[in-house]
Amino acid sequence: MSRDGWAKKRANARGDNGWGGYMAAKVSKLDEEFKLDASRERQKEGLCSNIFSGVSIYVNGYTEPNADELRRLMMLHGGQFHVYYSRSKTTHIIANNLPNSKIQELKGEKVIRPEWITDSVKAGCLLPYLQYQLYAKHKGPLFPGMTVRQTSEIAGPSHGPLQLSVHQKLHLPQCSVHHSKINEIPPKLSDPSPILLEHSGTQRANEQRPKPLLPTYQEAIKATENQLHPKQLQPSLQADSWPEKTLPSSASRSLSHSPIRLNGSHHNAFSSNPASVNSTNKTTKPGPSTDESTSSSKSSAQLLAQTGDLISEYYTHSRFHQISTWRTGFSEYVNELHSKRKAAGGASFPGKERLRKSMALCSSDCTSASVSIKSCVLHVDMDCFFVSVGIRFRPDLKGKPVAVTSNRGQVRVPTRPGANPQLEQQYYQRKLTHTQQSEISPDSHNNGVDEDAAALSMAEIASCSYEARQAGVKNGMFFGKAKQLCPSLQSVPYDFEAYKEVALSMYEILAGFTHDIEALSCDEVLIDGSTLLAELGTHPEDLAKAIRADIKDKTGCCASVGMGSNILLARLATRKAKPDGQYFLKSEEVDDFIRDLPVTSLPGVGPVMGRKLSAMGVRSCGDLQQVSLSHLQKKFGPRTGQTLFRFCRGLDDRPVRYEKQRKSVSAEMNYNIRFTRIDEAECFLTNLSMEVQRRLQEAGVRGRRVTLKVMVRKVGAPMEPAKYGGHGICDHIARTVMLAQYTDSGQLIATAVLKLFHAMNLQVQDLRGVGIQIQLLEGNHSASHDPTGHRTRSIKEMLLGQQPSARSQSRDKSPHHEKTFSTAGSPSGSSPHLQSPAEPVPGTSKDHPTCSRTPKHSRARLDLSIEVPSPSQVDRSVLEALPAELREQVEQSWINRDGKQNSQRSPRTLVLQIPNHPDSPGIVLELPNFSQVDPDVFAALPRELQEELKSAYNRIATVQPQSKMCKSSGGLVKNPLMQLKQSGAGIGIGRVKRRYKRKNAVSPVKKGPSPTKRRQTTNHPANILPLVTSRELINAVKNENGPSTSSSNKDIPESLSNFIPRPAPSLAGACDLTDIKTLLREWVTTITDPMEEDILQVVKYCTDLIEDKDLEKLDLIIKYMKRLMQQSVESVWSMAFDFILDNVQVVVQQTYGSTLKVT
Amino acid sequence: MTTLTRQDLNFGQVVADILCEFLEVAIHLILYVREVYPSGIFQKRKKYNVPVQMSCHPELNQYIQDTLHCVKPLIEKNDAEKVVVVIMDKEHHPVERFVFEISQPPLLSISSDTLLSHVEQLLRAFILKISVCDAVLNNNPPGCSFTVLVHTRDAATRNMEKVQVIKDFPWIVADEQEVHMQEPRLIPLKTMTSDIVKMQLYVEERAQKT
Repeated sequence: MSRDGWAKKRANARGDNGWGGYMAAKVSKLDEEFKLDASRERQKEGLCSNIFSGVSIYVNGYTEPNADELRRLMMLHGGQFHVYYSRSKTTHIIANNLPNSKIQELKGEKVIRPEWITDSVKAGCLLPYLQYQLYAKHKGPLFPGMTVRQTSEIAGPSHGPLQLSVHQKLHLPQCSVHHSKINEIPPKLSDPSPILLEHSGTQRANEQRPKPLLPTYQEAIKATENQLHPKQLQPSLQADSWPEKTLPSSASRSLSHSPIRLNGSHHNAFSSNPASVNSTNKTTKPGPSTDESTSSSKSSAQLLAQTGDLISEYYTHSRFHQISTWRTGFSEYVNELHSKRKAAGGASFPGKERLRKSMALCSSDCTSASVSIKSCVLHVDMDCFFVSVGIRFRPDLKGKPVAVTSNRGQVRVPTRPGANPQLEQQYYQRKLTHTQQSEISPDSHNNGVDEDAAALSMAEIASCSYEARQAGVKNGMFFGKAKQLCPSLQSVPYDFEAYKEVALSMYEILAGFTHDIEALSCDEVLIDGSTLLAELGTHPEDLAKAIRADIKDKTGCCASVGMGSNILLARLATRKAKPDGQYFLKSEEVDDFIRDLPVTSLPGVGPVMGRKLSAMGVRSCGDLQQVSLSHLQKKFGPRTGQTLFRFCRGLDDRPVRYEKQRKSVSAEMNYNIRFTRIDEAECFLTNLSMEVQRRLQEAGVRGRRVTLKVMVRKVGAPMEPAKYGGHGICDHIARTVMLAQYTDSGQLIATAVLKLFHAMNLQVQDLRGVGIQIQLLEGNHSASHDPTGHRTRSIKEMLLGQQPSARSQSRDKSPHHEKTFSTAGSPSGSSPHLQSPAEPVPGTSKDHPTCSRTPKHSRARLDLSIEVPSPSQVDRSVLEALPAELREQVEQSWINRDGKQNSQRSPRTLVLQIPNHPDSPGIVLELPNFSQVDPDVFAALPRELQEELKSAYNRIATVQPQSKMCKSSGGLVKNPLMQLKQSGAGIGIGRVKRRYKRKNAVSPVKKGPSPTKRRQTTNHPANILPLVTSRELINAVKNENGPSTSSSNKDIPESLSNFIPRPAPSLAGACDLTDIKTLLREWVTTITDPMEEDILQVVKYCTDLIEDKDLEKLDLIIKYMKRLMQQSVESVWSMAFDFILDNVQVVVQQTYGSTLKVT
Repeated sequence: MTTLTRQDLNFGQVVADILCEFLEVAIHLILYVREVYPSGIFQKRKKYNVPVQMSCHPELNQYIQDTLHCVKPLIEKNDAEKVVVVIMDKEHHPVERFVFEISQPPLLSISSDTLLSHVEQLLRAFILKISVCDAVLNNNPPGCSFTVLVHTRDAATRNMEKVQVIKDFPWIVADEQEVHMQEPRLIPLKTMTSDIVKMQLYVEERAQKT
């Protein structure tokens, strides 16, 4: 943040009108925060001094020690730290390196190396700064014109980090580095315009990197010392025209896939006038394609880095995000408590002991009550947490309307140009009051709205006290509005440290009673009090009283406790208990209590469902009780219907889980999203996917369903929202895709997301928020059991001694390089070509990289080819650590290899399917001859592996003839089907669909490869295999096949890559329409309750058909199923059909952009 | 018996010839069935051994011919992914799209004489489907016009710019307005897989036509 200071500084200078005083407010807020932190820091550290009093520093760029450390030092020693540079207030600028342009700007300022501070602290007094000055003398201005230009041309408000003004960044060193690159452009680019284009494109990408690293600076300084002439700089100064210049490039790229039509094709037959139509021709000149593509690829790489920074910065700086992550933290805390207790064999519960003692004092009258309670859940919720924490040391504010907000009492803010706060205000208001969300249009301005609303503060209220709530203030309201409702409203700033502290002490208190805690959020906890109460023999009310007293005592904040026989009732009781109270919902009171509750108070019933229900005439839970289960299920789906049915009767069987299962992992950003070009958005999505990958890996889960959520500026909404960087009025759009396989790879997610994104066909400029969510999670079970926390995924990993963590690190560092590896699911190939030459049959190799997306039964494992790496690649120490036999074998293989120099494949080539899933055994595709296998080694293998190998050998026996045929004919072209069958069999047979087998014993069970697998195949394999690799592969093929291969082989590269033949999609072996109909009829008529697995299988078959572009068949099958299933007496069948149809429609929508018309 | 593979030069031409011939028949028939033009300008002919309707308006016929003439080189090179006959309402918003999705079959060969009659059978099925498609479609609003779009694979557009098959009859990029359809509903009509071509026809229909 501090490093952006230069840009912001200027904004600040003009901030009074242009930025709505935003910067001024922010700077003073930061100062306040600094003061607060300083006192805390001083308390913590103890030692402190005032050596820096009167010194205000501003840290510029990368320093050693870093800015945070310097900030801390300044705190401890009485100095000031400015996040934003201010010429009047800042006394010293701290920097290790400064680019020349900045030196120009800082004429007369003291620029000092950070050692000055550290040395001063060491010395205990303020040392003279002279000898620490970064530049003793300021050189004369090198480019006098530039400074003038720069000050005069700072454009209006920039729209956040993505749209940094070009001019101010022109002075950054990167552009000078860049000149040298431009000089390297081959001479054929003599035409000036492409150069300019290339230049502006790349430079732009460069200039957007907010945090230049040290090396670039040094380079830059070198460059400036080499006298960068103004003339040389000239083109870059013209770069402000980049938006126009780069447009054709994106246009021409999009052109390649866009549909085109013949000119004059609006053919009105009788009056066709070709001449007039021709005159309307649009001439799209094809841009200089090659140059552009290089520039765009280059710039996108840099963009990637840049947006990546943005995301990580957002997540490190967004404190709300941190709060939301606390819950996981507290869950872990509870987990830890449990494991500790297990380890210690028993823990001390101070709270419990105290309660026991107090119970003993008045035991005589309490025992009777305790007997009747069987199970009891306590729901502890702090009363308006942020507020009560904020005012716990400010008794003067107690009992007054208080709101926690980032605004500091200032009600009015000047408007920014481009924003239309009135409109937004109106919109939000309408959204609040109206049940139906109405369309907004700028014309429908209701002038009744107070004009002043325009100038009201848009800071949102995070939490407000009960007094304020009485006045009508609500959480999430804008402060300006709230102040109007409740003029005496006081605002309290956020205090994140204190929140953490209070939350932690609350958890400590509760842990003092029991460990059966489920952390809901930082201020909300569920406790399963059943065992505790039984043990103590107390009444829940007493327990609640004790808990509340403790919390009040220790934290100074109030908590409310609701109690009931299940989670639902406890939560509902809390609502009644608030504020600062407790309520025990006795089981005999439940019916009366719940009957009058509005349905919206049930958890899971939001405004949308509430509206749906009220349309059904249901308002209270009593009404809801009248609705039949089947009706609810039809209306809301089987799951939700069931839940509603139970909830409105006060039934809830969810257990209190101290270990919470994650349902989804997501990353979302809807602040400061302003893209100008499509590739920026793409880069951003890619980076966001990487963030999701990080989180998935952190949580140790992999997911299958990927949802892309975007917020798009609503048509008619103002370009700039009233809130700075906010999203304004938006349409929310979400698209979901089901991956073929559970994944945690950011790359896979990114490709899926990008596909969705393109399908949405949005204006990137209107994007205001982006989020990626992964659902259908599957835990890495082995990860939790494995003490090291890492699965050893493959033998290869073991061999090379590579840790998954190392892999993920490298993945983070170089997302590009990792591409081939991650798609292949083989994390550790020491060189990419390891995968391909090891292929048994060249034809199948194309499938390899995509195997990570194989269908359900095989998707759980990765297809991974393993070759014993060459001696140089193997870590000696690892080799030595291997069992003797294994080591011998590895060494043996090296010897063999040396012996057979010419052979592309080592004789020991193993092609293994490595189990990625603990319970799905991998399958060996190609193995050494069984006779070659050393029985000792075989015996030494783990049992599962042995079994796998055995079954693999059995299988090979069956496949052998085919593969032999393939090899002898060398027929890539002639026998590809055979080859695929082989691999298909290898993948599929291992895990057949048991259920179908049982049901339909006649049909041979066979599996085609998954749709996604195919999709990738038909895409550009070049994307997956690096070009070199495929070349090598083909060479290998030729070598192997020898001269006998037909001449058509030469043309394989292109033709083969375009279409690899594949077997037709089949449902449990059935391929023909009549067979499938028979099968389906059998299924529907004989079974009353369809298994989910079967339904999924049908869905998969349908998606296969879509992939296979056989919509006709799909249509027939859907219609057939519709007839069958909706006729069935069981309602589950029609639900099953709805499920299948929904899923199919999603896929059709994705592929064709429209949905099937089902009549 | 000769076996031609995809690499043989005239293979693509053969496929393109067959397809363009078929497309011409199909377009005429679509225009008739969907009542884009008054039925008076159509005459009954026989093609693929079934009755079809063909326009006898010379300019319309010329236009369709010219269009397909330009489509042919694309099909030859397997560059055309979809050929789309779009029927548009008065405001030039598409109401219906007849999408011919063309791809190459897994195994390409022209192996025997029976092939062509086999392909003819398959194409006949398409024609028959088109002639009864009004049963599954809603009526179009009056005053419709039509246009032909081609979705190309990869960067074929760029080559098309260079080579103009017919002078002053160039391809242009379709307007977003012509491509985008609100709430499209998809109605699959027919799919065929033969040794030379794999093709499926489906109709996308706007949910609200009026």
